[in-house]
Amino acid sequence: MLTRRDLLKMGLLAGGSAMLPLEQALGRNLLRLPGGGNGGSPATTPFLRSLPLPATVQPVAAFSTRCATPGGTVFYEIHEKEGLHSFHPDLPPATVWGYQDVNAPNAPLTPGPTFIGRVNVPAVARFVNDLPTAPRSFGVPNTTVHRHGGFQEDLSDGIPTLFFRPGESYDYCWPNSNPDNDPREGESTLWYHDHLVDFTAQNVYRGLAGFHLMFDDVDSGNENDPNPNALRLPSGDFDVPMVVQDKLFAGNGELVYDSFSHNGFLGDKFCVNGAIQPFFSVKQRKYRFRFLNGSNARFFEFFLSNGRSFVQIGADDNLLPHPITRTSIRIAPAERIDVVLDFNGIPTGTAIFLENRLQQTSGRGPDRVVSHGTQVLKFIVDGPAADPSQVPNNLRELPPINPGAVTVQRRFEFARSHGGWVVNGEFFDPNRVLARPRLGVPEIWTLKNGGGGWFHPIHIHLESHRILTRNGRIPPAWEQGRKDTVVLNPSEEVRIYIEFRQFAGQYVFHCHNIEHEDVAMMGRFDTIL
Amino acid sequence: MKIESMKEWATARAGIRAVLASCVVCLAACSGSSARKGRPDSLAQVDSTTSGTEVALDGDIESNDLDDEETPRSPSVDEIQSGKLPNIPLLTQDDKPVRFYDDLVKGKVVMINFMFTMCQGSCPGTSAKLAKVQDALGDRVGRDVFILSISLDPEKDTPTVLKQYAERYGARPGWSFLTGNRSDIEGLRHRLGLFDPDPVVDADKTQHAGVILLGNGAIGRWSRILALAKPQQILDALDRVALDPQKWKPAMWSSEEPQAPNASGR
Ligand SMILES: [Cu+2]
Repeated sequence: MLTRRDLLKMGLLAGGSAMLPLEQALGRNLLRLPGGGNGGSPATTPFLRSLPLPATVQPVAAFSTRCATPGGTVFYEIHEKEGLHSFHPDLPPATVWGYQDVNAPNAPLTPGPTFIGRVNVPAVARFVNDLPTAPRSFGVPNTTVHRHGGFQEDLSDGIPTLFFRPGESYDYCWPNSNPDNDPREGESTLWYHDHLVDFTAQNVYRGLAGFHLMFDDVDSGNENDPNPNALRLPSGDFDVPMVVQDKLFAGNGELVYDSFSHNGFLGDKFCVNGAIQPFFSVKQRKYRFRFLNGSNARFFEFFLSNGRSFVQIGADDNLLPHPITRTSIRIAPAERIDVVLDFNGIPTGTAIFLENRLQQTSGRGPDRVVSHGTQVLKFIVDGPAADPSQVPNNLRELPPINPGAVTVQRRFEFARSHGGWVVNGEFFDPNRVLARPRLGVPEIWTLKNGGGGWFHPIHIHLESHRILTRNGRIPPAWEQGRKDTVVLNPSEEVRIYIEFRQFAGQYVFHCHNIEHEDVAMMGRFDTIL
Repeated sequence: MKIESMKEWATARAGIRAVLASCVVCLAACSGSSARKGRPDSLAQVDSTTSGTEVALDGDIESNDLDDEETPRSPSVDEIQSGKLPNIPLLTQDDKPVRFYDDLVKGKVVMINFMFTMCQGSCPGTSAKLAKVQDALGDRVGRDVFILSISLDPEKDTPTVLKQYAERYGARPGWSFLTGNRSDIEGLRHRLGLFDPDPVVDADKTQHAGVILLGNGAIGRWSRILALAKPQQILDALDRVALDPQKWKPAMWSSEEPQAPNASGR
């Protein structure tokens, strides 16, 4: 299979946007592969390729920037590019958009490289837009970067209309501080993705997404950490982020996106870290897997083929107070589930499959759990390894909340209306402010699903929230921690506790079924002093 | 490609009449000739994943499909990838035969909505909104951008009826009102994504009359906006898709709004 690097070597690829000569050189139109039947993606042989592991973003020398840069600030430079990406050895490469560390110009474009943040170490990330000015088909090259789960000023939050165009760049100031400087507010698994108004679905599907992990003294990213406060969760090679996405492919290998999937786009191939159905060789020890559902509209429910359980340690950007053992984990678009799996005692050569058993036939939401699913990833157990890691029974304590003392209540209804989606009867208008929460004043928001069988995973920017009730009942244990995305199941009413503590400005909350978000289930809220 | 002959059109019209005569509940039974052979999005179709046994056809998946004819099918990847849309024959309000893709969309900037003249719900508002957008665009309509209003009630909405309706809204050249074969139009509506998975909701035509599709047929870029939007918002959305991307400037938001209406308490 020709990789982008091979093509560069062959001199076939001058720049990311020079696609036409490249297509001719490859005889792309002749590379028709056998169809998968029923008009779907071409057939691909599963588990041919090892799980891609995104590289860590490396710092660059300090540059002058609009951001405050106290001593110790780390600087990064990321380029948004178009290029070719191999999703599977059986398919010709696809044209994707992705994020590229300026230090690693040959790295795969999607998912983007992983940012590693340390608490209270501020970072400035300069994003340079090198996308083509006049792309064909889907994707709009005006970009704005949202660090999902990030605690940051509005100018660095990826305001949907505050984009930068091809040839332009934008500096994002990420202070990496905790709300109230409270270590109980420490974060773990964030991600970053494009947030362009009206076109987020197309741009994220093209590949503009990556991980951003946070570490502190507790979740320190060092399983050998001598600090008694450190959790010593599996770290390094044994701490593996996995973004799962459904995609659709044409016979020529190109990504296919249907711009008329207003109800929510579904693909028929499951990719993990940009590879269709990869395998992953694991040692006989504990691993931390951070699952991110990076799909536009598809929900997953993962099971292990050997019937073992997942030990869930985190939900969305935060660790749970205690680990929870679960036989399956359901994950909605934009949610993250942080788990530990232990392969100790499993014979070398054993294959274990990560299966999605959630049937979903439309963008409306999942239908049901079925008895045999689709194998998304194959773990192959591959010999022993030392395991100094542990999963303590006490992870990260939750900050105390007092919902009974809350005096400010708001209500938002998320509904289908006239073929689109609305919040409190209105589709997104950046000049309409749906709420003005005051900094430092806790609030209770009632989020109501307007019905019709639709599922809406609602993401609120700036601060995590706590789910108080689902239809009046206490949520399950794995939803009792701090969350940044909360699923509204059909007709459900969910009450959440949320407090904004820093950064007065303009933010959004929206459905993270991205097609719903784009048409235009999103609302603006302004945090005020 | 122009429609081959008036004979072909006459055949289609005969079909419409036959349908009218024989079919009482038309929507389901006649839906979607062109979007028919598509890709069922079910889990079962995530192909050859070698789940050991045959993947995931759990028996109940099929029962979930209720009536297969009612379930909107996704188009095949080849259909999507081609950028082409159903090339159904249609008649304009001037009784002119046209093909939807070749004559109306290919290489053009278009605004598309579905309507019907008897509609009492969302349609009149949408047509009035489009009239305002037409006026704001001035002579660019018919040159840089074309407006296509397609009837969901094609038996009643003959070219003559549509012509009267067009005059009521002051439609000028470049704004076409279109009728044709019901099953063709239903197929087109599904292909353009304006359907509801709930067949009861889907059967309510007014549910499909509130969205304006915005397309650039030259580069295959599509967007959409609710017709509830202000005319200026529709014009802005049109610029983003097609007309003048350079006019789309990055912006923060205005801050003069009064206190948010939905807070209780202090
Ligand atoms: Cu939604």
